[in-house]
Amino acid sequence: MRQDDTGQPGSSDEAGLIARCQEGELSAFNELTVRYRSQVFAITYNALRNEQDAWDLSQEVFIKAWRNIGKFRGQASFFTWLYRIAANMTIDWLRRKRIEAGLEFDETTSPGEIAPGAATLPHSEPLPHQRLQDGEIRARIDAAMEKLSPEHRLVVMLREIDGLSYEEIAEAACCSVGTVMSRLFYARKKLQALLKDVYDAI
Amino acid sequence: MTPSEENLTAWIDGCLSEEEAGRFEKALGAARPGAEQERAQARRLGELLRRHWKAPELANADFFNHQLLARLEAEAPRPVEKRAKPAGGPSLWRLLAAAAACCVIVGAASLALLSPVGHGGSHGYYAQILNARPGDSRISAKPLHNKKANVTVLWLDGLDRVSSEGRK
Amino acid sequence: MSRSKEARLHAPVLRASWALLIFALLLALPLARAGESGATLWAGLVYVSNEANSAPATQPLAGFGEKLKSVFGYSHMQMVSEGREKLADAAEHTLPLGKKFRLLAVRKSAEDGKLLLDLRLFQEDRLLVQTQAKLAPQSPLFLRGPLCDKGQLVIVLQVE
Repeated sequence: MRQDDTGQPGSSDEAGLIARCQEGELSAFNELTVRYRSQVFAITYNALRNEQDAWDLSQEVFIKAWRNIGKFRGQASFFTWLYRIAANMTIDWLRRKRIEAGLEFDETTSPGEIAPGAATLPHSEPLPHQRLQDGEIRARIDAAMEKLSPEHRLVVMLREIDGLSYEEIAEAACCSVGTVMSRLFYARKKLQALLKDVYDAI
Repeated sequence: MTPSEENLTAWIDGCLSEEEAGRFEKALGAARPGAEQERAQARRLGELLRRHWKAPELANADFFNHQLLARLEAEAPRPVEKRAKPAGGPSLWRLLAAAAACCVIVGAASLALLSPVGHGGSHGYYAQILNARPGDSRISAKPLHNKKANVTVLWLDGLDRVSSEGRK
Repeated sequence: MSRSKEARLHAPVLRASWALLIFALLLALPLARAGESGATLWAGLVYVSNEANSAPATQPLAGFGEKLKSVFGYSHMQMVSEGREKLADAAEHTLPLGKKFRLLAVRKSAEDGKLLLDLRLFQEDRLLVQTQAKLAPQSPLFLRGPLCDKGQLVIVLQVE
């Protein structure tokens, strides 16, 4: 998941590109965009679930990255720095949308309900006619993800889809590793409760 | 989050070292079957998401870059071209040509002055707001018309106060 | 023509040319504006207050003084920033207004001197409002901005 188009993330070649960007060279930034546009689009699309919105937001992410490239000091990889911008902008976008729609996040899962090793839902074999189609599955996942806060959703996406480590997620989401693990734990619990019948049926 | 929950997450994700995993599994004791089931569930969830929830490929990726660069170039300041002043003064022929051009301008302006000019229909017209959408839900936007001043106002509420920096 | 004759004709011809040009421009400019379909948008960021020590308003602000007072109740105004853009059809134009604000304008159509515009007002990266408005010369649009200092910021839009 972390492979860029040239298969060379975080290389000295990339350091050179960043230096040229900081000098104002757009062609160097173009190369960086080629490397990471797919990942940025994926993160925005997975959050927004709308191609046009994800396209627009991805553009905004790169524009913000260009405007702030001078502030990049190389303490984290460019990849996680860019992810942080994408994550923050995506969260802001989601929060705005939710406020506009008057929706609230359902984060009412209490620790008492999800103690480790707690009993899970009874397992049942799906009947052939109950197997879900792809579109239905995506819709169910979308609906389940909607119930997570933007922060919980982001952590699940970065871990499960993008395969980032806890440290990388912490860097991108501007929080501690402990917070990442906590969010992941509760988000998984919630999604399991909402989607168990889905992954049992396929 | 309790340390055991933190360890459970790391154990589910295979992020514990062998030694740590061993200690954790030993500590689980009777709860181990439940934890194993948790791990299986989490892995199935992950597979489900990766298989069915992955984003599509960025369509027209080259156009994405093209559009992005166009926007960035529009933001970048362009170097101002300085034109070199020609040495010496204008020749007589150039001066005569300039005088002729001035006569043409005067003539055109006179024609415009003499020809009827439409009123454009702007008397009695006032600006109209057809629709207004605030940028976020904290802001409200209401169109108003002040008849006395004959001016239309888009009344925005909910904006953050700005410091005196906003006057610069 | 000999060089000496040329030199003698230089100065009066030059003076006459300049005089004609200035006269023609003075005549042509306002007429040219009347003849246009109102395709220029002027935008001003104005600080209005009741501070007695404010500097007197200068043109074009002075023309809006009474209107601003009537609408907002402030008697003093100060131009913070202004911009002017000739709006080409369908293209997006940016009018920066001071350090913190900018207006994006797209001309959708023009008819009888009236312009139908898509407008977006930003405060730094924050979109404040998106609006579609029909503007005409001599009919300004005010956008009530945020409170500032001891007064208020107002964005004034006028088609020219």
